[in-house]
Parts: sequence; structure tokens; C-alpha cells
Amino acid sequence: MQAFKRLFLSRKTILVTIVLILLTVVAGFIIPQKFSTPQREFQKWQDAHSQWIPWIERLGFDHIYTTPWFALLLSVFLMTLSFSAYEQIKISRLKTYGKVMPSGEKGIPVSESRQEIVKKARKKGYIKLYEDLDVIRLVKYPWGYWGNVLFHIGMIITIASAIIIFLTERRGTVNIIERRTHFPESAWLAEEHGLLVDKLVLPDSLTLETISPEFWETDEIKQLTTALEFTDETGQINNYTLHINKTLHYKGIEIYQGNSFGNAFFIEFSDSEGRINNEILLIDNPKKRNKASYSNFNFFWMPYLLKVKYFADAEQKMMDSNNPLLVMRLMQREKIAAELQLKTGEHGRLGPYDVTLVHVARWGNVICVKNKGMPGIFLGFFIIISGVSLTYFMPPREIYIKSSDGSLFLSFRSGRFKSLYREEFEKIYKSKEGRRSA
Amino acid sequence: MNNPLFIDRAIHWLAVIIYVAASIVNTYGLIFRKERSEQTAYYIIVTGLFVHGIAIVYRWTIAGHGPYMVRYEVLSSNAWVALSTFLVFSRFFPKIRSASIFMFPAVFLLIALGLFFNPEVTKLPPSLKSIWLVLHVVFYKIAFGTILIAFALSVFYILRNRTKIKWSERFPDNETLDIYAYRFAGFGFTFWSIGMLAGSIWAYQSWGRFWGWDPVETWSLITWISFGIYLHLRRFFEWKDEKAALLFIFCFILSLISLFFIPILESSIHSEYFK
Repeated sequence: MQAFKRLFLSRKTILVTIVLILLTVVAGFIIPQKFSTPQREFQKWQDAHSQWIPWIERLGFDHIYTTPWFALLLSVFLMTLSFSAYEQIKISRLKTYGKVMPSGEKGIPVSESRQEIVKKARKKGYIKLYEDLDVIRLVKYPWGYWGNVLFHIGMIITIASAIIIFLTERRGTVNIIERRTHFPESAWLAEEHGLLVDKLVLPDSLTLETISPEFWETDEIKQLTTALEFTDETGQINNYTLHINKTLHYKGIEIYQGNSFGNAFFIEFSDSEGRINNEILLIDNPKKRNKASYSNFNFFWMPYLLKVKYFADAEQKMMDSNNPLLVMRLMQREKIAAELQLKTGEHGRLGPYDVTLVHVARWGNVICVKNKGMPGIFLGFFIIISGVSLTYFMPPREIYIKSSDGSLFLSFRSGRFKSLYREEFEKIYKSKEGRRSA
Repeated sequence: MNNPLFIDRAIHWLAVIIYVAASIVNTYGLIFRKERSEQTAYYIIVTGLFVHGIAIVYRWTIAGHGPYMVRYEVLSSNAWVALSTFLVFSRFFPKIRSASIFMFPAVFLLIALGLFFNPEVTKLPPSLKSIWLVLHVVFYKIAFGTILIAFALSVFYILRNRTKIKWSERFPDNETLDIYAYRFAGFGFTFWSIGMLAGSIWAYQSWGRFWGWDPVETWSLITWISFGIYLHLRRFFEWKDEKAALLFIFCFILSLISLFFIPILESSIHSEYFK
């Protein structure tokens, strides 16, 4: 047990663990991660580095933060922090309340009484923490002794909370078209859940009533507001408004307004044999009134790639128009097979199809999250900051008044940055009209 | 003349000219041991800071948001906060004043660099309307200021150790340079931590995710851990002197990559509006 404790308390173990975490984060930056890289980009990277892929997949380097070895690394780090925090609590208690003597140094002889020295030191912000017949210890900023303890405890709380979130968080995002409903059993557009929980299921049906974007005169988005409706199993309807940075709390789930939005184009394709296919094309909103937004679609029934672009306004005069212009191209082996421009209600010929733009509606992105442990993250971070602030802004400075052979000696010590505070000590000493001896 | 962007740039250029004047007078004072020139340089630089402050407030008024959207305003405000941080800290720690020989030119070079970028006003997207964003940005700027001071002190340490430049005698002794570099690295670490916390609260408020492994977030964490390693080595392995100074310079380079290069090179929520 002692050897185990020694291993985890070793400064080298702590340093090696921190360096390994650093290298892991660097690797996570260099190697594209599955969860954060678009599929096409991820595939491209894999194709370009095919010789490394077996190793990357075997070691989980394409999803580093969810690998067992990263969890193990964090656990080791957590253990070293816990042992270290326990030891530091003991050291800090001793420094705050115990009789700690500076090593070896006899100090400078002074002629004043103990009470006079204490009084002058107190004026400089020193607090008497210990006194017996032999020694008096005065400390400025004694709470600085607890800086490291707080830093370590904060790290423990933050990492533990992050692990809880990692294991229990449920998250789903969905693009919903105006006046359409996402039912509890409906599939998410993207979904993530921790190892200990199942995927997120909404308690009630969610209907997106309207989505209203507001734009600056420069065409940049000013605000995105969504009117939502939850319908429970009894048919009771609850209405809510959501916008960016305004979260909705509904039956234990946090609901956020996503940044993405755009137009959904309801299209009817009719081929020469009279077969009809209805498709809904969800495309991101254009960034400017005179710039188009692009997207590609592959349909199982269509032997072409459908490339689509649209302008927010057919006349390119405004961003929040109800009259967008849709341009469709059929692509066959990189060549344009046909092209068609449509506004709402219009129809035309696109290669072998008769196409009608039946209806246009807005769509918006909604993010639903259920997790535990978030307050722990922020509390932990706050404690870390308190710890480092105490450590670097308030390093404790100690003055010792020692009695030896009937004389009094004054000495000074600082855990950190001693040379910075030597002048402060010398001022206290000079104010006693003494003389430095050592 | 009535073009607000022209007025904005003109005030910025005026601040640059004042800063250049202050840098020349200060360098002369430091190298030739003219205390009066040094003192005059501080009066000039405070005037420059005031003019520069007017430029930032004017820009804030015409843009309708703080200086955190385009590189022009980001670099300008970074320079202002770095100089203010230096002037405030130099009142409490007078021995760092010799770092002004590096800080003053660094400040006008940052603004001058910003002036070469497009000054076009960009509107604030809704996700950036949050007090946590303001705190996030402000604390990173203060962290940058303290890190810049520590960097100057580390460079001075190496300079004096390796060269026989006469005027390097004006710097504090090596032990003081070393210990101040350590302390300011600690301040930088503290402010960087606060910036990260404010950023994670902002991200949670906006997207329900406190950490998304976005490239800028990842690099910020890499830099934070690197500073942590530097502080750990100094505290527990008694690293000091030149090897500590060299390690700090490496950490400083990482911080530059995090703050200025990654948002330009990588696609990220942080870079979406910087490009």
C-alpha cells in the first residue's frame, strides 16, 4: 500500500501523467476525430493516411476521448491528484496551525520587545498564527497556504464531473420544419449518449410552430426565434419561445436553439411513366442576399446527383423574403445533364422529370440535452481559479521572532518568490532600527 | 472625412505615433541611463493609452459591440489591455519597468499589424451576445498581457546570460528577472483559467456543451497544460534560470498559436467571425 501511495505521490508520476494527457490532446487535434469531423472530410483523411488506419483504429486514436485507455489515464491522474490533495491538506494544516520553524537560519538580532515587533508586523498585514516561549510566527496571507489544496480539489471535482457527464449525458439534435412534429420515438439527426444510459427520448411531442430569423442590414443574423409547442399524452399543449442564448427547461431536458436554419423546399418529381416522388430539400440559409446556399442530394430512385442552390430572395433584395429562388442541376459524371430555376408554385422540366416546387417552409435546428454533473464542472473550475489566485497573488510570507540565549532574532521566509519580498521584510526590520547580520 | 472608419483608423494611427515616440524616448532613457527620459516616456505612453482608448470606444460605438469580432479590433484591444496590464502591474512591481523596452514597441506593432487588416465593421451574431463572452475575451486579453511581460523577462534573462550587451545591465539582476518571469507566468495561468471557465459557461449557455473539442478550445487547453507543466517544473523540480526561460518561451509560442493562428487556420466557432 505504501509503495502504491509513493508511486501516486511521486512528482515524476504526476509530471508524466500530465505530459501524457498533453500528448493525447495534441494527437486528438492532429488526427481527425469521428465525433467532430464531417463524414466526407474524415473519409478523405483516412484515404490519404491508409497505412496508419489499422493502428489508429486499433488504438482508438480516431475517438481518443472515448477510449478505455484515455479513461484509464484520467483515472490515474485523478488518483495522483487525490493522494496529492490529501497530503497537501495535511501540509497546509500544519503550516496554518502548527509550529513550523525556518530551517537553520538564526536570523537578525533585534533589540525591541516581542510585543513591539508583533505590533509593527501586524500593521504590515501579518497575522500571528503561533506563539510559545521560544518562537512567534506571523504570516501575511496565510490563506495562500491553501492555494494548492484548492487547485487540486478543483481539478478532482472538474474531472470527476466530466466523467459523470461523459457516462450519463444524453444529447439529440434535430432539424424541424415549421408546423411539423418530432415525436418521442422519432429518430434524431445526430445523437450521443453516455455508456451508462440509453439514447435520449423526449417526454412529449415537440412541434416547431414558427422560426423567425432577424437580420442586420449587413445580412448577418441578428437573432433566431423559435415558437415551440409540447403536446403531452393527455393532449395538453404547452407553448414556449426559444432563441439563441435563451434555454428552455422542459421536464428535466434542456432545449437550445441551434445556429442552423434555412428553407425546406417541398418538390414533386414526376417521370415520363407517371411515377411521382415527393422530396423535401433542407438547405442552409444563404449568408448574403446576393449569395446562394448550396447542397447536394442523392435519391435512390434518381440515377443522377441533384445539385441545388437557392437565393433567400428571388430578386436578391432581402434576407427574410417569402419568395426564394431555387436552382436545380442534374449531374451525370461531373457533367450538367439539366438545369431548372423555380419559385414557389412554379413547375418546369428538369431532364427526364417534370418538377413542381409545391411549397416552401422554414426549418430550424433544435438541440436537446439531458445531463448531470454540469454544476460540478463550473464549481470545480471556480475552485481551481480560487486556488491559483491564492497561489500566485497571495503567496504567504512568514516572520519568525525567536528567543535564544536571552536575545530576540528576526527571520523571514516565503514559500514562493522569496526574493520579491525581501525588501518588504527589510522595511519591517529597518523600522526597528536594527542591522542585518546574515 | 465623415467616414467613421476613416476617423477610427486616424485615431488609431495617432495612437501608434504617440506609442512610437514613447518607445524611442523610453529606449533612449533605459540605454543611456536617463531617468528623466524614462519618466517622460511614461507620460507619453499614458497619453497614447488614452488616445488609443478613445479609438476603441469610438469603434465600439460605431460597431455596436466590443472589440472581439474582426482581427483589426481584436489586435488593437489586445494591445490596449496588454499595455494597461503592464502599467498597472509595474506600479505594484516597479522592477518590471525595464520590460517596457519590449512592451512599448510590442504594443504599437500589434496595433500597426491590426491596421493592415480589413477594418470593416461586422455585426454581432446572436450567439455572441452574452456577458460570459465579454468575460471570456477580457480575461484572455489580460492573460496575454501578463504572458507578454513574462516573455519579455525570460528573453532579457537569456539575453544577459548569453551576450555582453552593455545596456542589459539596466535590467534587474538575474534572480529577480527569473522570479518575476515565474510569477507573471503564474498570473497568466490564472487569467487563462478564468478565460477558459467563462468560455465554457458561455458555450454551455449557447449550445448545451461546456467543451466541444473545437480546434481553438483544444489549443487553449494544450497551452494551459503546457503552462501547468512549466509551473510544476519550477515549483517541484526547482527548474530555474535559462532552461526555465527557454521553456517559457516555448509556452509563449504555443499561446500565440492558440490566440492568433488557430482561429485563422482552422474552422471553428471562434474563427467563424474572425475570417
